[in-house]
Amino acid sequence: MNDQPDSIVARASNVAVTLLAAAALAGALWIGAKPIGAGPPLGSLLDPAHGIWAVVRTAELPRHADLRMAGLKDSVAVTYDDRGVPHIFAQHEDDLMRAFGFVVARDRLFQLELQTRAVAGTLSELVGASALELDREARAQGLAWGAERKWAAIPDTSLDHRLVTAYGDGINAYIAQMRSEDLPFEFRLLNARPQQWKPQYTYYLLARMSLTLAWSDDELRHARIVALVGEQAASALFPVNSPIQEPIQPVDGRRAPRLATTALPPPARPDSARLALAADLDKAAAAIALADLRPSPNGEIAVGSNNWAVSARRTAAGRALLSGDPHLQLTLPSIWYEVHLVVPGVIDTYGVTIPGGPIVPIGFNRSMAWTATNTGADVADYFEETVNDARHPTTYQLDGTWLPLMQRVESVRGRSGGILKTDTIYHTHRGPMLRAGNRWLSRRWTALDTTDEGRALRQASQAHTVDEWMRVMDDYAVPAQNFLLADTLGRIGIRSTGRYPLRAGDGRGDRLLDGSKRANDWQGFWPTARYPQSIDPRQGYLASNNQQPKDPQVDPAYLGSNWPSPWRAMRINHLLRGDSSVTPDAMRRFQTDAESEQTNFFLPPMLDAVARIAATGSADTAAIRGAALLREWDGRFTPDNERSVLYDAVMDELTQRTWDELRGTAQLRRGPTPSSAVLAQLLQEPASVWWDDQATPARETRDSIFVASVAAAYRRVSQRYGPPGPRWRWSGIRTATINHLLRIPALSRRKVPMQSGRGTLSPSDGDGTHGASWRFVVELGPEVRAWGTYPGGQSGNPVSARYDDRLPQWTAGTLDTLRFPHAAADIVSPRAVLTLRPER
Amino acid sequence: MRWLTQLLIVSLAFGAGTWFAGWWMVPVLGAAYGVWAANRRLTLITATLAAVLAWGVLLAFDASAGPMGRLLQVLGALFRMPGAALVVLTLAYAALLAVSSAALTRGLRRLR
Repeated sequence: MNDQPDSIVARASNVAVTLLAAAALAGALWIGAKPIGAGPPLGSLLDPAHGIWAVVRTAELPRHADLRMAGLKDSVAVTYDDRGVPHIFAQHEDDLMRAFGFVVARDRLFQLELQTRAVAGTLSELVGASALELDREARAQGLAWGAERKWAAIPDTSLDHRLVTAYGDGINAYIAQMRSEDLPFEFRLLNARPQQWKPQYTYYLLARMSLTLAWSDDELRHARIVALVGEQAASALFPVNSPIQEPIQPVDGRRAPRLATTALPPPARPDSARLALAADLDKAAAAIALADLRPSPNGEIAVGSNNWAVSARRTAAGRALLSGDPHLQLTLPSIWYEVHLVVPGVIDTYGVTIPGGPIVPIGFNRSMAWTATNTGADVADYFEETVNDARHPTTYQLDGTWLPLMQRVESVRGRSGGILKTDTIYHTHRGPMLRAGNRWLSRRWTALDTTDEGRALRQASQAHTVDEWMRVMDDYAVPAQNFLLADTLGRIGIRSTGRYPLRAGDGRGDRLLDGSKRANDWQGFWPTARYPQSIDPRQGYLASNNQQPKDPQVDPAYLGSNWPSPWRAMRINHLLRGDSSVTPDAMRRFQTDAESEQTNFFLPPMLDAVARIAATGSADTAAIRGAALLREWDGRFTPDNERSVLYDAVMDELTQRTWDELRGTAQLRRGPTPSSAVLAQLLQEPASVWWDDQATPARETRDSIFVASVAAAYRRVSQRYGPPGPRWRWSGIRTATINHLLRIPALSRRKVPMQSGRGTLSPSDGDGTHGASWRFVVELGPEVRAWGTYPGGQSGNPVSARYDDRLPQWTAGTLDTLRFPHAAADIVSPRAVLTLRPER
Repeated sequence: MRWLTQLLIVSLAFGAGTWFAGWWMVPVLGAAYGVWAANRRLTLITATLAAVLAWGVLLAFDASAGPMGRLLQVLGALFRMPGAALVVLTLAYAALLAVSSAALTRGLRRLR
């Protein structure tokens, strides 16, 4: 009798436990299988064999790997040296490219995916709708459209078509043989798989570089400034010719920069009609321009590269020296990947490549070295078009005839494949259009032309002399670069190489043009002989730092406007003029030189002004204290310096106070800030109306603005960092921000100390997101020697020691010795060896 | 001794299942074990410990093959928790899958 209730209780208990188990299991399976937001489901994330934990097993390369690869004619030996740099030895160029693609994918697969999608406008498919606007911008820019046209124009039978295809095959071969643990970290976080690589993606990458380096919207900026201060003043504030001339192409006999002495015309009153136009243009520009390409608020362009070379007769060892120091956005993994490519008798080139590009745009071979800085030429123009319908145009007018618009329908898809947004992009014969209010602007841009930079760069990396290099690069088009060369014959050369448009009328390209007239179209391109260039100049050295390439007194032709201030050019020219026995180590030291020519322009008159006004008893005590501290300053932006911060703040204050006329109106946001070279030009006019602070009834002069700037800067710095002391140390204030490609803080490196300052050879902007992306020095002797580093590492795996192992050298301004072996066997203590064999 | 042998065998099954097929093999094998061991003692404890042991060994293998400390640092920063907590979470998840599936099938078997 008693058993029955017990049995019922036991049964009920069993039912309860079973139900509880069912609920727990259902819950566990649900959270295990359901993706968390854009991320992976918990089950596949935590799986110790295939989930996030598995990335540790592939953090370092296996010591030995032996794989079969389809399409290879012979075996390829890849030996990774102690710095993780692959040295690829192949017997055929096609095999070399296959192995090159494989090796790059092995280390940087996610980077390949992300940068391709950024150009294609398919980021939303990877990361979700948060990338929708970026995708729409990319498609409106027409980068992928242009890249597809470039690829289609390359003959199928050409060597370059074959090599680019082989490189892509190598990437796909890597993807095909990947094991589950090989899937990169970021793909796991995004619960995604890599897409198949197409050869035209190489041209997507070139398009991306063109966007970073050769994009200009001078016309739109000019319209804004004209609306705020009038045509004359706008042309003076953003001049076609830099007010300080230290050009790339040396001027014979000149041993110092040339300073323009023309006065700046006074500002006109804002013009309401032009303000409305400028506001429309501004909105239109915002729809296609990426924020990181815009100049920083202090008026200087954040991307600032350097290169210089010294001919054999001015070096200690009698061998030509070359230094490369391209500045770009700093990312992890780095934009660069180091590699050594060898096919005996064909190519033996070491340098940095951008993943996705089967070329070495910066590097050296057994005979010569080359590097580049951005030219910044104006190679994009806007035309205001006349269309038949402001909302849905189908035709545009040209010389009185209505022509059909080409229409490109772009649908951005999300992660699930559903369409998030569809846009129609209209094209005239010039290029894609954008809408500005009721106006339509078309854009002609060399980056969208069907030119083949890949071929030129490939041949250049195999050249033996400066002359040969320049010859094979004759038809290189975009992005225009100041290519600097040095060879083992002791020669040096530089040429601003790119496709520069010849324009109608006065030749200027910084104003909006009437698109209804064919006469306003580009008339052709500059002949190569006219490019800014120099070979073996009498001065014995060459340098470029993004400054205006040619002094307009030598050639007044329009090449661009609003050139970066030439402080860096002045500094390196000063250093090189003063050293007739240059060593590789001196070249290295110059790369992180702590002094700035800018301070020589601004500091003395500033301190004099404070002293003069203090003598009258009317100076603010903060100005007197600030000036006293600045007098103690050695003018160097070193990490332990406790005065640089004050100078930096003074220049901020001075810039904002001086250009208050550009503050903007209710209709139009603040205009861009003129460069500090224009501010330096204004120093010569102490009573100019530009010094006047429009917010006060008094009429300010240069000296009173100096005093006010020093006082305000002193107060600001004291308020933020306390009284002068260790908290004013520059290393705690000016740091580098090296963001991961997805800007994930845990995978980024922030507050990285760096030696840089205003106008120094290693400039930096406020948030430190741009800087030296690769520093190297090459000595062109009988045995070529080289040193280099970049802020990151070879691996894209954030768990790998090779992810950021070069940061300490980069921070310290030191360089690693680069291994340049003749054969794989010459590599001492290789880190890993990979053998790729043909399929049986 | 028999229990220990059983624990090791079940653990080996969980480990091999995960390695060759994936995490979902833990509930599948757990369910099978629940049916097979429905009338044995310590079934649920065995399933739990076996899953923890299996995934623990797999994690230890990962750690022996690469920089686990660095991964824990990255994951900790990424998920804003101590890296070690993720190890605990991983093992707890394996235990939950195993015990719930074994309990479910054992209960169903007993109800028949």
